[in-house]
Amino acid sequence: MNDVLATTLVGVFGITGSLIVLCSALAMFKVRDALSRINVFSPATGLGMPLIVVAAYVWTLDDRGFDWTSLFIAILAVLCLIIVSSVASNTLSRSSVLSGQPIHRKTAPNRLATPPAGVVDEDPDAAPETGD
Amino acid sequence: MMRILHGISYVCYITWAIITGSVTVITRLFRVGKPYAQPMIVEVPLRCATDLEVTLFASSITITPGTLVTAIAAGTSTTPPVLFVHALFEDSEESALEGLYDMESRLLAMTRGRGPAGSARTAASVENSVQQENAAAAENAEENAAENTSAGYPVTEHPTTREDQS
Repeated sequence: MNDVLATTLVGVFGITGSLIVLCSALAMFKVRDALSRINVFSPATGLGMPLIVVAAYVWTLDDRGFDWTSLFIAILAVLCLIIVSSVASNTLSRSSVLSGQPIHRKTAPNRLATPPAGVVDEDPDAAPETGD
Repeated sequence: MMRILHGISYVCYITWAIITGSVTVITRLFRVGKPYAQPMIVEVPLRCATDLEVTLFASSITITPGTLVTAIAAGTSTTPPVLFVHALFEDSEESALEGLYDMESRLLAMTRGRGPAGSARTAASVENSVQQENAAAAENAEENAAENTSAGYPVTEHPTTREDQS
């Protein structure tokens, strides 16, 4: 591969990926609660880190030539990043809710707290009404 | 064959959603004078039936920047399973639900080979139909009780319960 082209591609993918991770970190300071912070971290794991893996693969391709093993490792790494980050975010958010972390007060509507319109939400554990 | 085509189209759709979502998360950082996000938690009654479909849908929602699954309620015989989704950059609850249903339709087209026929039932419609069924069941019970008394049979309130207790 042409050296100039390879260096350019590595630079574009690597720097773009790094900037996306940096911006995700900055976005975590802009939001106020745990759920939103888990939410805005998705670009880093879903796009930023796969781009860095692609940059590393292009560099390997230029350095050592085409190799099925490195292609397989690169594809596996990207798939694992996406799958693991999505399952991990699910687990983090559910544990955050179940452990009673406060949700930002401007979260509206919050369907975990209020039912949708038209739904009567009766408490099955409420004490039955007595005559007196 | 159709499933493979729908699968390829779904992967492209998710990739595009990840890219556009990331762009939204990043460009909003540089928007001056407006709030960064409008957080909301919406309730999504599912049309997904199997464990695989629910897992794939929840993972797809979470990997898309701007939406995150916060809780899953199991379905019963009358109500569908429900996802509670935290959305950051949607204008309204309706637009958030519209985007999620679009993703669900594409996912079901991949797993079933064709898209779902109808739209999803909302929590309110499910609640109304359950209440109507309960009311109809209560009316039938009253009619049966009336027929039994007119025929001279002794009426017991909960015969099955008493048998169970004995």
